[in-house]
Amino acid sequence: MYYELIFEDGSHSVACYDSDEEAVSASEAHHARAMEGGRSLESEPNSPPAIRVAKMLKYEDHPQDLTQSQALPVGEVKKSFDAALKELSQGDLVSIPELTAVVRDMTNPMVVSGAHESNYKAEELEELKGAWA
Amino acid sequence: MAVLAFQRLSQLVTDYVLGNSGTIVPPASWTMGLATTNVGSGGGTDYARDSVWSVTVATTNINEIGTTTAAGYARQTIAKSINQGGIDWGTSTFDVTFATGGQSSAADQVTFGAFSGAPSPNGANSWVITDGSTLNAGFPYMTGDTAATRTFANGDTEKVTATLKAG
Repeated sequence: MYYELIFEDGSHSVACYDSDEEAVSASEAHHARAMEGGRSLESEPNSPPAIRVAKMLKYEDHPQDLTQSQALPVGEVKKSFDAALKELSQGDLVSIPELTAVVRDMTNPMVVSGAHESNYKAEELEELKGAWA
Repeated sequence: MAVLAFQRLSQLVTDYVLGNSGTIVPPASWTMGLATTNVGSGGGTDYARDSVWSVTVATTNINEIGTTTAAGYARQTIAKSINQGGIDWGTSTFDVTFATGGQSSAADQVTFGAFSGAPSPNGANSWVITDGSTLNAGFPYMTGDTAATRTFANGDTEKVTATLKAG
């Protein structure tokens, strides 16, 4: 299973664990280290400070896999394409490079989100709670 | 830092950018992995320009950490966009200094972990910009060394910022 860790400073990571217990335990260990003013990488004294965990989301697959095939339902593409065509058109003309950029972005698996929200379009299975909550 | 661009990256320029190929295309998003392989400088056990991800540890192959035991390791995603928020690429800059200059772009910092223990294999010597989330698979596009071997244990995280610079 995959887990998205969202840290207090707004940084994110995706981690792979065998179980929820392993996920929570590892994240609590990092969170505790942050609370004690420890480093992110214990073997490197000059590594950045450990950061408190803010949220943990669980996924069946790596959330970036959602669009990896770069194939999308025709109806979804048509809806997005038509909206882009309408927005980018100036009179009878539309910029093909700008339109192409919008089409290419349809397979972006990520979203622009708030600091403590998911970075991904994929729907999480659940939010896990730990010592940080 | 030693950095190497693999042939797949330049193939994107020749085929996709120059030739408008419909088959040699960028992935939906980039991912970053950590590998035990040293970047080196073209020696017998260093990266080659045609290096591939492989579970077989051999010359020119790239071996990813955490393939036997993940212990929290997974590839990190970098969006195929510029300064759109989230984790993506920065505005490129151009340095005209003849000997050391060039055009470059840095990605936002990514975070690995938290590790739940020692991944196997452990000990990252390089980061690799690649595609997909399957370990030891996908196209490698570029790599850079981690300056020192990073060995992970319970509660550790690792932060990496990738920069691509071309003459």
